[in-house]
Amino acid sequence: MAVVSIDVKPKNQRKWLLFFAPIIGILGLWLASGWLVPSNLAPLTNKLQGLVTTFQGIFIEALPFLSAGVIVSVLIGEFVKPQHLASFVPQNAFGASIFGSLLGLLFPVCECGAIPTSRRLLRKGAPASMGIAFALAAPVVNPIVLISTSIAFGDVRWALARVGFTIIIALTIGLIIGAGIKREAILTPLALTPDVEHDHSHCDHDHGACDHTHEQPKGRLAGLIAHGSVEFFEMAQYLVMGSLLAATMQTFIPQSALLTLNDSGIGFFAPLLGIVVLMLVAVLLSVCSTVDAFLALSFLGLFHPGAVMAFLVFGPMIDIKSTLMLTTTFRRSAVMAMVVLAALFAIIAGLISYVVLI
Amino acid sequence: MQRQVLERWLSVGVMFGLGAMIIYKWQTNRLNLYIHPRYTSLLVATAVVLLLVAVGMALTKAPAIPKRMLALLTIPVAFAVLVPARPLGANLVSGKALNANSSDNLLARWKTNLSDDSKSWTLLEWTTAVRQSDLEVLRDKQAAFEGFVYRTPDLPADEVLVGRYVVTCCTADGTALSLRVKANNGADFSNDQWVRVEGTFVPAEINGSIVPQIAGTLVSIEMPSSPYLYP
Repeated sequence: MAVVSIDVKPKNQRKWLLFFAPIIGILGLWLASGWLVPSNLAPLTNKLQGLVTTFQGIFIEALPFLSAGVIVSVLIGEFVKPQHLASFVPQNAFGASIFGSLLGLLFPVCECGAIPTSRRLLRKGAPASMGIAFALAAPVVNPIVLISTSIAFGDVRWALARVGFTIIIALTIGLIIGAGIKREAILTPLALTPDVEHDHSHCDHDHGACDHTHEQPKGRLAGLIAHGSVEFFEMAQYLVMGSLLAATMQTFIPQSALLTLNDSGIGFFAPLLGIVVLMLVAVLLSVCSTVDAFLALSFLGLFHPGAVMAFLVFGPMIDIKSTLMLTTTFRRSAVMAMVVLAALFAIIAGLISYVVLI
Repeated sequence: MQRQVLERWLSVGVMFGLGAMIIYKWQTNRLNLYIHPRYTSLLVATAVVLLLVAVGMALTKAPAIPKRMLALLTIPVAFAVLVPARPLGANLVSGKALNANSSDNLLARWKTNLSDDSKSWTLLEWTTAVRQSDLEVLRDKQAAFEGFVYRTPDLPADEVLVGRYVVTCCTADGTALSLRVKANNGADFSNDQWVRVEGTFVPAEINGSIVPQIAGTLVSIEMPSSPYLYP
């Protein structure tokens, strides 16, 4: 949860952060560049260059999927009218949760794309429970992930179990958080701003870009570009932060430490420990849901199938970068609740799989 | 007004920089230092879209992007410009090495069909062979594989580990493999130098246990265009 706390700091602490972050950044860049670095710091330069390679790996890998999500979101913004949405989305929390958890079949996006899409739907007036269920489920409940999981495991049952658990967990969380609580208490002001057609004023973000007025760009395409570029940067900034954190942890915490932890469980706790360890790995690796099945496969030898299932279910819902991105759409308390509930349910899914698949 | 124009152009610049970074890395064959080659075309397409959007932002006078976002998105571009691109190497082996006692199933999952000609085996195939077979069966088989040199303090001067990473999606999931090599010229090589191992498989007895080892020579080579192995 330390991830979320970045933004929870009081104002003056944030000022310190703003002051020191560039200094630390420039120092790190200099060390990593290896330019005129004293030879006794060379090992650090080595480590930092490895960190950069890992960072670029996560960032570059996720970039196409994030861009696709932003394009889907912008297209929804342009072509889906709020009254369309209201006419076929059930307005009760249960129906809305089910709808949200299945909507990924129509919009094939991974976690980087699901969050901008979710926010767009919310701004079009979708119920909060639908937005939550969609944001959590869409990264897994979509054709691309279904196919990649089936191919990776060579067994369609894995894919079906993965999708089944995800739907149940997402709609349950959508119901728990979304039912009976006001939208205003769950969503950020930004996600609450109604998305009016052809409103190209671009004051739809809370970061001060609109403190000054600028001339209105003309035409539909101009509007799409303006919306798309702002949304791209808004989401991508969390991708950068998340990738940096994940790469730093990977560079300084050896994977073998986690594996050793996995091997240390005894008796009743052994399966539970495996599940928790792989869920931690999912959070640390922050790999996109469209490709994580291939990765999960490589864990099947080291961990029991229940732990691998927990990895497949939990990773796409919650990892470092997606948690940061969720804060653009949902209030911090709601994000916290989503993280805790998702973790809890993923553990249960893992334990069920452990019993059934063993 | 001046400031607005500047901020707007900065926004265009960062967007353009992201696209240009990917195109540059692709053109200089460095994209595969970061990701599995199967994603190359997807990334080039993404880069083209980003460049087009950057041009669109410039032509349509799109609003400036908030400064914090610009600053953060400058990071990957700054890395690309200022930090020498290098593959995962000896620097991260300690963090990403395969856990010896739990690797059997992992290797089995990476389904490698071993050919009869051991000279064509990569380090991944050698590692698989070592796990699957009795070391004596492999004795005297000829080896010719590539990897980077990785030294640990406990090795004698003429012995090195020759390592290579196996990557499934991107560098975030890289797993390091290595094999011990006793080479007559082993002392001449330091960490991260790329070599071809030419020799034969001769299990060695170290502290009472038999360990897999290649005996032969190291030949210095350029880093292969795809530094990682893909299962």
